[in-house]
Amino acid sequence: MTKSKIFLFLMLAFILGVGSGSFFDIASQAVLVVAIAAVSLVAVFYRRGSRILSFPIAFSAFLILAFSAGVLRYDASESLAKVLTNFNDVNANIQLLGYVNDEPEQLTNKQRLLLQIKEIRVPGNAIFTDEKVLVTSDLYPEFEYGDFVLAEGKLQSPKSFGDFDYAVYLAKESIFSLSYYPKITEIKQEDFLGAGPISGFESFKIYLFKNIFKVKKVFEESIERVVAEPNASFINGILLGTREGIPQNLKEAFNKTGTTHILAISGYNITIVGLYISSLFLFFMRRQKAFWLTVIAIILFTILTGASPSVIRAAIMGILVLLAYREGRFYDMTNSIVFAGVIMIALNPKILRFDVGFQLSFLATLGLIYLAPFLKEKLKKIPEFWSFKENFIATLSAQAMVLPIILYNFGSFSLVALPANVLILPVVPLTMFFGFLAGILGLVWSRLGEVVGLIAWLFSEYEILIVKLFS
Amino acid sequence: MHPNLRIIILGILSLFLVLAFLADAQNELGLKVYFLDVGQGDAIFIETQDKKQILVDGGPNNKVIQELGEVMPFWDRAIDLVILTHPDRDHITGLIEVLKRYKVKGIIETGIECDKPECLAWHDLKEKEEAIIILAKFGDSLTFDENTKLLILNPFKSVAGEKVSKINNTSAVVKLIFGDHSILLTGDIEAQVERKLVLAGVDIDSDYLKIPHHGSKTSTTEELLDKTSPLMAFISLGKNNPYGHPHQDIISRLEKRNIKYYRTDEVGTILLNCKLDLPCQIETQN
Repeated sequence: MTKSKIFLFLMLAFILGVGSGSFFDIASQAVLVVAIAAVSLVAVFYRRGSRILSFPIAFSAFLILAFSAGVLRYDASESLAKVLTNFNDVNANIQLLGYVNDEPEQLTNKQRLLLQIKEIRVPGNAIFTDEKVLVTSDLYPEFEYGDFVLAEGKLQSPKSFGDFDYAVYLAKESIFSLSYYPKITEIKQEDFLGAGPISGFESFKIYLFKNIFKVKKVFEESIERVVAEPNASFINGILLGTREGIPQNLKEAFNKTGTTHILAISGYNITIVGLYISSLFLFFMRRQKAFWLTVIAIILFTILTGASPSVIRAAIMGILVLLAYREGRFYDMTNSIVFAGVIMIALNPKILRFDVGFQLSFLATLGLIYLAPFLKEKLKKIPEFWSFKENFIATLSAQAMVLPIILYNFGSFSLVALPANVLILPVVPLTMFFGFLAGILGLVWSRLGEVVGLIAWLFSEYEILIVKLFS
Repeated sequence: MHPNLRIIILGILSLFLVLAFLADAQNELGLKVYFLDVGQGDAIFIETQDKKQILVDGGPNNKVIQELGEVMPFWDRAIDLVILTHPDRDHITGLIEVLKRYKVKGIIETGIECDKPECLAWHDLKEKEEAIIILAKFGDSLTFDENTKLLILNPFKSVAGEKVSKINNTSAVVKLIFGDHSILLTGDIEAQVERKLVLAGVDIDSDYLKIPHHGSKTSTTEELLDKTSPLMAFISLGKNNPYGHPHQDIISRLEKRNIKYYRTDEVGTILLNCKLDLPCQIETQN
């Protein structure tokens, strides 16, 4: 057995462990005992060329170890300190002090704020903690990422509606409490009772992201000034993954036609964008240089979108696909992809079972790497027309891989997804390009931004029309 | 990319652009008044014959932005005049986003004191916008062209900077005149101001009436209807709103006088399209 095979199996054992941990309630102690037994077995008997400990046994011991590590990692993610849930569904107001820990999500008639709570105040007592609460409030006053706030109100447990398990959806982001329309006031860091509730590292993180989100917001608002709705929201969606401004009926049309993925930054669309960028760079420079510049572009893009975990995961997947395309050796990529998956799962084990986005991203990537070259070989004879064929192959291979997940999660599969995607995808990078240009120019000189915005409007209008037509 | 292909793309692009402009330009002429469907609140978009655009109130949320996207030409990123009848949430909220996204040239408001979060945001953005600000009072008027005129009928005297307990009654009441046609926009005024307008002999006689305060029973008195004597009325409100608007009494008052009325909660956005020397046409979304 080659070294890379051994590594692959160990990684798969870890993933299996996390999976088992998420589905079955396995006691940590039992797992620990098994793991320790496996370690001691290897430690005591392992010797090069040992007869007692043959390779298969040693290998099995390591597999058990990796599996146990997976189970333990999942269990650890479950046993986070949860103080706030004690106040859920209690009919009394409490005071929560913390900071806004994500970009406020502006919907048509309300906003959602993710608060990182550091301090809970109940009459005569203050409790220090570090948990999240998702707050729904009126559109105004507006808040920014990093604002210190005091929220006074009641807490609720998430309730599932219809088929959608809201509690599970939030749990993977470690949110277990909601608050609707509490009284929110901005405070200063000095108002916290705790000596230093926010650590140096956290302050730095807040400072950094505050500025990233500022840049992002300035850009988004520029697009909104130079392009009419709903196209402006659509362009912000494909450029930055913000889709809260898109009207509900249009969102449903995207869902029905299997094109929602262009509005979310997925590994798939980062790959497409990456391929376009690198072909642009290839005009001017050598392959090697173009590849690295594309990687840098993707990283900058990831930061601009706010570097949320899902975008980071997408970026990693996208870069891996680009790497595969560059090397032209698709079959060597297995380890890198599984390794990337393992890291992501190790950082947040909940995504394996609960994050549909992660599952889709991961499988679509596998499809692009393994299925696409195979299909390309089969469809050699069909001529290429303005990347239609390439998009057809990419769509087909990604869709084929994600089909089981989509069927399981959404219960339906869109037959029009293929034609809709093939018609839309060639225009997406153009829309992104002109949208980006319009946003930047709009900041410099609004008139010019508006003119370029017209072109972006036109491309986006075409895409919206196609989606409406097929839905 | 193939060089010919580039030319083809460019060609298709320009063709689309020309078509889009043509499609917008061949819109019917005349005055257009849209009662936008923004839920429980008011947002009225007016385009005069000379393509001057006026937005009266912005509704309770940001839906007005989507609605404006539908009724305004796609290349147009400016609004000539924004009127805030009074700074209640169901009138001001959407206007804040309008200020963020559109270049607004003029603003008419009453200027009463208000420290609600919406008012503070509105105030901040207004400072940045280089708009002419007019503090509304009775007697003010704006002439758009020889046929189009806007008169302000309430408040009777300027209330700028005042702290008011009944904000509804400070609502700017606006009468829009286009040739022989006239439209009365009443904000959220209540019986007290309606009586004042009638008693003071203000010329509120109009062909079309926006029912005040979303059809609340505290407004739309018999006197107002008699004096205005409208042909048609419009009620801007949300479906299943918690206030029970429109009140049954108001509906009966309209029906008793054979005044045809349209409700945004039933028919969506309503377009009142008037041409000189011709009766106005109504179009509804649903």
